[in-house]
Amino acid sequence: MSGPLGDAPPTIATAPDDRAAAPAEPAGDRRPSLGTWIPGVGCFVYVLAVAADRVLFETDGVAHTRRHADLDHPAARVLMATVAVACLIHLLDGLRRCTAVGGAARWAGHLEAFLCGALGVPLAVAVLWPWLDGMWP
Amino acid sequence: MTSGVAESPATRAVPADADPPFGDESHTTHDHDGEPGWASSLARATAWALLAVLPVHVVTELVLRDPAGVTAASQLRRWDDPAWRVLDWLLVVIGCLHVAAAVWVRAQPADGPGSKPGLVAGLAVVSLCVVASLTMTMVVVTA
Repeated sequence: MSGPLGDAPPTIATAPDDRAAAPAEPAGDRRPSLGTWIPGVGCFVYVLAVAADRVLFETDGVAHTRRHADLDHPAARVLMATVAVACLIHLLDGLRRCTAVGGAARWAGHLEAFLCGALGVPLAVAVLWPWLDGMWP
Repeated sequence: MTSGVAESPATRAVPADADPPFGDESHTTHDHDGEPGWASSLARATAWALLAVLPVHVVTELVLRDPAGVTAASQLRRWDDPAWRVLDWLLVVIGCLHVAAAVWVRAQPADGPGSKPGLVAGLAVVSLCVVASLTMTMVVVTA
């Protein structure tokens, strides 16, 4: 509304704010984020791959053996290492969201990051090892 | 005559069909007493179960043995042990349940907007087919 003092600024809105009446968030960040969903999709892909592998094993043993032999390709090993690390990240993220309460939330976040590195790197190296071991005589 | 209050961003109406962020838990389903619904409880229970099953599976399948060296014969030897068959079956069933419950919680908000029934239905069908296929496979192998 235009008056002697000019247009009213938008900050004087008097509409009720629903957020003020919302219950307080529990201490600690328990909400899933992209860091939860993206590794989760990787885990689901792993579960589907396990199911498909077992079904193929029962229906066609020769094709099953041939498919596994194809996994010797470096790209396949990198993919397997990525999925394994995604599973680890998803597990640690879920563990943090279930256990992070109050003042422990910050430390749980740090512990999750530490464990991701401390376990994820050896896990990736272990999955890639047959390929890495063959790279030098 | 226009009002500054009516045009302010704080009072601008949100379209009823606007999708909330997929990872936003503020609109998840809850019972009338404020407790998490059955889907939330199922997602949490399956998460704890996966915490025990998934690491064992990943370590034994991807670390302790070379996946490229697996043959039908070696797989048959592994499945000779009922414990490994049960572990494989549990991983797939619990994993599918966990995914379906988690997506149900996020994609089925109690207040209507943002509902993604197609995503939930598609995922449920895929999960059912996967579990049924694996169960039939295990029945055939066991017999």
